This record gives sequence, structure tokens and C-alpha cells, in this order.
Amino acid sequence: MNNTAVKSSQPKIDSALQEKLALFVSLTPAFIITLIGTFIFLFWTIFMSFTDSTLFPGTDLIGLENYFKIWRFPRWQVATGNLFIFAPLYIVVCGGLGVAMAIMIDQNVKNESIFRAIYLYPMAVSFVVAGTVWRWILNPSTGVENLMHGLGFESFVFDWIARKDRAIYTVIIAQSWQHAGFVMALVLAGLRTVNRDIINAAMVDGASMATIYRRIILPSIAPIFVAVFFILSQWALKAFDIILALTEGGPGYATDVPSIFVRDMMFNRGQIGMATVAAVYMLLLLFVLMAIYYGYQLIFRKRVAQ
Amino acid sequence: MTIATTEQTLPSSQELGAMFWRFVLYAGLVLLGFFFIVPLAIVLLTSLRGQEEILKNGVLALPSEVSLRAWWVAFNESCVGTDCRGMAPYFWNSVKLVIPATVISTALGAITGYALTKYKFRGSEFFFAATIFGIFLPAQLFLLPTAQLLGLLSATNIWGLVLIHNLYGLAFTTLFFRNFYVQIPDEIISAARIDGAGFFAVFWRIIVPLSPPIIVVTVIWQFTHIWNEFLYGATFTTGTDLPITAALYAVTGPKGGIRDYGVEAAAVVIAALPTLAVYIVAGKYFVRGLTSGSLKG
Amino acid sequence: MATINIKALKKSYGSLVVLKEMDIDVNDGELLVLVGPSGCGKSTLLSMIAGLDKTTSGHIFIGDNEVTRKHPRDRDIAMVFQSYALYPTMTVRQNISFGLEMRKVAKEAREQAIGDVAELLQIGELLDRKPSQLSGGQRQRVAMGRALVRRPEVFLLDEPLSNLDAKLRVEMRTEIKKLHARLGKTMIYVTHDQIEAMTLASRIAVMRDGEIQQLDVPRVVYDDPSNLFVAQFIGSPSMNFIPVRIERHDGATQMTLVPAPEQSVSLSAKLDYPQDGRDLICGVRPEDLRLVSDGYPAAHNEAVFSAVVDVIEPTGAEDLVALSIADVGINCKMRDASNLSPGDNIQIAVSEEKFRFFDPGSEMRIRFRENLIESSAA
Repeated sequence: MNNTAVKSSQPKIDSALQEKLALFVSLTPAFIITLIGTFIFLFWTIFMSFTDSTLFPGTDLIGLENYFKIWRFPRWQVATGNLFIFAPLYIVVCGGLGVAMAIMIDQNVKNESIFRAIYLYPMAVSFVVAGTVWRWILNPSTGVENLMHGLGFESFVFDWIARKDRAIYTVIIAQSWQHAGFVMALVLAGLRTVNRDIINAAMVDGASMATIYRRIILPSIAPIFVAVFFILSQWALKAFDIILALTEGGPGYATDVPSIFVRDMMFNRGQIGMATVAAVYMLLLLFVLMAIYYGYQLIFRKRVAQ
Repeated sequence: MTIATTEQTLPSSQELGAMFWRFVLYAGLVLLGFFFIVPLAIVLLTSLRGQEEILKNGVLALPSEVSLRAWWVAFNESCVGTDCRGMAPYFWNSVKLVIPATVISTALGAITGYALTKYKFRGSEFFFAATIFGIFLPAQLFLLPTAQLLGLLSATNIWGLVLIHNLYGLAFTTLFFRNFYVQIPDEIISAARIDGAGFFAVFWRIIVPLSPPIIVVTVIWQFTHIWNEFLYGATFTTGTDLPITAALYAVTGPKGGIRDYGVEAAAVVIAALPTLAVYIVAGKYFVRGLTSGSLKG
Repeated sequence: MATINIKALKKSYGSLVVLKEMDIDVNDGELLVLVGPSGCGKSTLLSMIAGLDKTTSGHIFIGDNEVTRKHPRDRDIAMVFQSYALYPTMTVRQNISFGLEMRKVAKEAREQAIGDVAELLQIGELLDRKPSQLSGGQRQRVAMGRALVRRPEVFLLDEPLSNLDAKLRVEMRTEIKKLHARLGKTMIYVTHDQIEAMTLASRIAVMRDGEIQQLDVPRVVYDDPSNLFVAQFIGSPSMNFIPVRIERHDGATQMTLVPAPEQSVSLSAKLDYPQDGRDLICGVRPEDLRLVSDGYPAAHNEAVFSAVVDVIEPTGAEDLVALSIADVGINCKMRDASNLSPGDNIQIAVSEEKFRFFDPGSEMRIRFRENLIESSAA
């Protein structure tokens, strides 16, 4: 059999070296991007928070001064307060709605894919779109209130969006509308991984569906609820465009949140130092969240291992 | 003589109970469906109505007559700031932005994911964790340095945005590809290396042909994300370089005079259409991206 | 010359030593089988010869070239994986031609080579199918074809038959043996199945916990195991072991069964057995035990033991009889045990030269030599 034609010359550069070089080259973009775009930028922002930069970034360090000073801004107080009102409610409403939808769809619904598609499409549109649309619906003169008046309920009032003390709740409505489908998708995926045999065994034992859900199915997908909690908290923290489109942070700054505060301080009011301090506070909050999440995972894993 | 027994035609109380709950279930599902669809329906319908009619009947009313006038106006004549050429140029801005940003970030994510999963080296797990770390961080943390960088490069235009989205998109795309490539058996790569394939040969001839599912998911995710993105788009471009989300914000934002809700609604639809269309056509992949992207380690 | 020389090779992950320092010399054209239980390090060793894993210390030579640091493609090897690792998106033809394309072999030569291999392995009609359309046995042959087509110096096979069903495994085993005879190439073959090892190998390396226990031709590994582990690993049913005591008694060497001290046999004076009452482990293979009956009484060089029949398992070709001596289980192979039933008291005989002795502590084999003084005096 013809042997020589199958063999060929050895490559000129050592193949092991070639491979290492190619590996190095291909990871360089990610390395540079991550180094600069994530870490260097992050440290720069943190560094800036220790300066007294206003209109332009400067390097005069003033330490933690701004970290304390910021709390004397009424606007910042409102912004953080809003976050702690809005976030828990949003998590409960959006999460609850999503879980409810998931459980409903899990009941062998005919045409379930149509329902799922309808519940999930808001995730495909921009936050600006969602905010704008809900602004119109919640606007007293064009939206629900107007409609009710037109139908004859003259005394119907729904002007939360225009009221300083209620406006923040409108954000919950809009953002829940946009995100509930996502929660549903996650929880539904989890529900479908539950072993049907366990459910059948419980049914044979005489348990009602409600009990089965409450005591068997939902506990077994607990990690998904934790993940949902974590993701929704992140989204609450990061909420920006939707609030801008919905209320512009108003009326006044009644629906201001830290994310809007940062942007405004930095580009409209020439308070770079203060803005970066606000951003760092956001980061700290995020770290707390992550600590909770990973702490839970550790405990959960330990418990499972036992 | 036997007495004919009547058949039990009435359902038992248990069956009635079940049927009742079934009805409640579907009623609930349909109501929820309305909750989700109505806002979009309103916008769509509003865009088809005349201006005076909207002002009279409000937003939540059916159109008395249908016209596409608002669409035309929105696309060609509406004012974004002082520029009254309609949404068209901003639509194309977004197109010019989305395509390179998606293509490049997807390609980079693919090769990075490949390198990290199939050529394990000391610290590759750490590298991966560092790369996806950025997913958690709020964009506000990067506003300042990004602004400075773009200022330095004099890139406060669409190309600056392309750069930014690649910068910040890599974390997600790497995550997607890495999670996908982990499932490809390592032995196939070993066999290819023994066969004489180098790093890039393995990538082109073996990995990429296996990648279409994840490429679709990633492209859809990036497209949706980048098209819908607002903060960077509005902050780092000005004037005629705005992407469509920022333009929409300007068109529907506070302004004096009488609002033409029809036109504004049409603007909303124009802005939302591409991503919605993708969702309708490829919803399955959209969902896959959502669920796999969020259940990270 | 496709010899393989491994010198002082060691592999550890941090403080975990997976392969203890070892030397192996593989002859040109031989089929060396690495056999051992899971975790013994045989696959790791193969990976390092292939270049897929880095060594911690030591050197590997293929032919005259040191390949320790070389990329797999520069080692002139081919490998067949347990899972076959065929390229899923390519046809069989493309799978086989891939390695040739990577080495820039001309199209004509490629087609010729593919054709030759297809004929050799009878996969010609599969060439345009994709791996997902093939059965396990077909995939296995394609994997072999992919390895063969490049005509490398050395073939590495990592449990290539483990994923096949029993019947196919036996068939393919024979095919591989024939292939090796025909091609005369150096092969290193990893398996956990000792029958595969025995039937295929030019030489066997029995491995355990990262160490080679014995490296020799199958006949020697079977008949002359160097330690307890090799003795019980090779051979099925496994060798029987029973603790014994050997001591001098009234001028004769006696071997007493520890669990059944009433059973005692005298050993030949010709061999240098210990005189001082040593405790050893005595091993005998099942096929070396035979039933004592009126028609076949014990011979003068055979030791006789009493045992009770526990279970008889007929396999068709022979009967496996499980016996016990006191509470020690003993397996015995007989041609026909049909006249026996469980509970029978029987006598079994074994010739003394079939005893294999092992030190209970070190598990090493103890070979007793001819006692030249005694035998010359006799």
C-alpha cells in the first residue's frame, strides 16, 4: 500500500507553541476588554468618588467627605427611600404574578404557547417603550381615569402618576408588566423539571393539588425562587429608562432613584464626585445582594449534602 | 319486568367543581392576557387615529376611522429636538449600530468561550469569572470612564456606541457560548488535535458547525439588548447620532403645544417593531436566551 | 522503529499522585495492554503518551525522538477513544479524511487512502453517512478507520470496546487482533477487562494505584503472578486464596489450612519451604482443583482437601462449583459436576506445583526454589 503519499512534512513551528500562541491571541481581546471595561473603569469610578470633582474629573482627594455629604441632599434621601419602597413591592408583585402565571400555565392549558407568548412579549420591547405606553395609560387626562369618566364614572380618580406620594407605585405597575413574563418563564421551566412520579404518588395519597403545590412542588424548586429574587432585585436597582419614560423622575423628584440621580448629577448638574459616590453606593448594595445570594447557595448546598 | 334505569346524565358535584375551577383558570389566563396585550394594542390603535379624535376621546378608545397618516409623519416629519426629519434617520442609526455591535460581540464571545472551555489552563475559571463579572454591575458605574474614553477617542457618535456595546456585551456573549461549549465532549477536540488540527482549525471545522443554536440565541439576545438600550445611547451621542430609543424619548418627551398622540404612538411602534418582529419569528430562541442567561453559576 | 520508551514518568495533581514514577519500554510492533481497575491510572498514562496531558516529571520517547513536550500532532500517533469522538457534523468520509487534510495531503492520495481503509474495515457503504446514523459497532470501526488512515507509528486505544454489547465486543476483539497481526504496528491498548488483556496482548502491564504491578507476556502473568493483586485480577473466576501455615513436623514439611487446622498436607522436601511455622497465603486456580472420585483417585504428588459443595453453576462448556472449606469459599471448575449436589462432602485434589504462595503482609509472591542440598542428597 502506498505509504509515502500519506505522510507529509512536519510543521515548521513547534505545534505546541503554535497552539499556545493562538490561545493567547484569541483571549487577548477578552482580556483587554475585561481589564479596561470592567476593572479599570470600576476602579476609576471608585477613585473619583473620593475626589471633589464637579464639572470635570479632577484628582483632588477628599476622602469619604462626599459619602456623608450626599445624605444631606433631600433628593438623594428620596431616591434611596424610593428604592427601598419600590424594590420590595416590585419583587413581590412581579414575582408573585410571575409565579401565579407559571402555576396556571402548568395546569395543562390548551394553546399554552399562545398565552406564554403574550405574557412574555413585553420583555422584547425597550424600557422606554414600556414606560411611554404606561405613561399614557396612567395619565389622568388620557388614560384610565379619562376612560372611566367617559364610561360614566365621573368621580373615578386614578392620578397616582401625578401625585408625589403615589407616583412611585406606578413604576411598580409598569415594570411588573414588563418583567412578570420572565419570572413566569423561569419558574415554569423549573416546574417542568419536577419528577411527575412524585406528584402522582402524592395524588394517590389523597393530597389536593393546592397542597401538592404548596408542600411538594414549590419547595423543590426553591433555588429558582432565590434566583428570581436575586435577578429582580438587580433589575430594581438598575431601573432607569422605564422610570424616565414613565415619569421623568417626577413629579419633581418624587420618583427619583439612585440610577437616575447618578446620571443627572454627572451630566446635567456637573457634580461628578457626588455622582460617583451615588454609583458606589449602588455597587455596595449590589454586593450585599450578592453576598446574600451566595450565602444562601452555600447553606442550601450544605443542607442538600447532609 | 325490568325497569329501565335512567343513565346518569348530570355531572357529579366533584366534576362540577373541577369544571368550575377550569373555567376560573381560563378566565384568569384570558384576563391576564388582556392586561399584557392591551397596552400594546392601545398604542397600535392610537397610531392609526387622527389627532383631534384622540384628544376628544382619550387614549383608551377605539378608533373611529383608521389612517396611516401618523406613521408617515412619525417616520418622516416628527421632531427630535430641533431635527424634524422624522424617526427615519434615527432608525437607521440604530441599524448601523446594532449590526456591527452584534456581529463583533458574538464572534468575540464565541472564540473566548471556546478558548476557555476547550483549552483549560491554570486560571481559566478565574478568567471566565472575571469576564462575566460585569454582567451584574449597573451601567451607572461606567458612565464616567466611558464618557472620558469616548472623549479621548473623539468618538461621541454611532461608532463610539458600537465600541461600547462590544465592550459591555462581551460578558453576556461569552457566558452563552461558554455554557454551550462546555457540553461538547472534550474527546472530540482531543481527536482533532491528534489528527493535526490547530487551534483555529478546530474552531472553524468542528466547533462552529456545532454552534448554530447558540449563535441564534446570542444574536437575538444582543440584537434585542442593543436595539432597546437607552442610557448609553442617550448619553454618549448627540443630535443626529442618537439611536432610536433616545429619539423616541425625545419625540414622546415633554414639549409645549398640542401633543399629537397618534404620531407619538406611531413612533413607539416603529421603535418597538424590529425587536417584536424578532420575538414573534424566533420566540423560542428568545426564551432560551432568557432562561440560560439568567441561571448562571 | 516505533519503540516507546518511558523513563521516570510521574504524574501528580498537586499533592495527589496519580502515576508513580515508572519506566516502560515498548518494543516495535508489540501490542502492550494496560489493564487494571478504575482509577489505576491507565488512561492517564495513555493520555500522556498521546500528549493530551502534561507530565509532571520524566521523559517519553517515541522511536528516537523525545516527545515529552510535543503537541499530539507532532508525535506521529493515532488514538481511538472509548466514546469514539467522531466529528458529529461531518460524514464518515470527512471524518476519516480530516487528519489527512490537516496534514495537507493531496486530494488524490487522500481518496486512495480512504478507499483502502474503507475496504480494510468494511465501512465502504457508510462513507456518506453521519455518525448519528451509525450503530455502535459501525462507529467503532469508523473511529478505527480514522486512526488507521494516517499510517502513524503508534496506535493508542482507550477502551475501544467498552461501549459495545458483549457479543460485538468478542467479535471486534478478534478483528483488532487480526488487524494488529496484519499491520504489525506498535499499539498501546487500555482496558479494564482482563480477558481482553489476555487475548490481545503481546505483553500485559497490570496497573494499580498508579503503579505497574507486573509487566510480562500473558502466559507468565497468568501462571507466575508477582503479587496477590495480579493473581486475583487476572483469571476468571479469580484464583482461590486460603491462609496456611507451613512448619516442620516430624522431619517433614507440613502445610496446614488455618481456617480448618485439621486439614494438613505434606509438602515436597525438594523445595526450600520455611521451617519455622510461617503464615502464608496459598493460591490455587479453579481449573487446577479436581474432584477425587473412585475412578480418579489422588496421585502421589497431589494434595487432597475436604470441602462441602455450596452451589453448582453450569455454564454449558463446564460447571463452576462453589465449595467451602470451613468458612472459606473456594471456586472450582469441572467438566461435569452433574453427580454433585449442594451439601455434599467431597474431596478435591491439587498438584503441589500449582500452589502459589504470597506473603500476607506485603502481598508479594514467594517463589520456593529447588532445595539443591536436599534434592542432591536424595
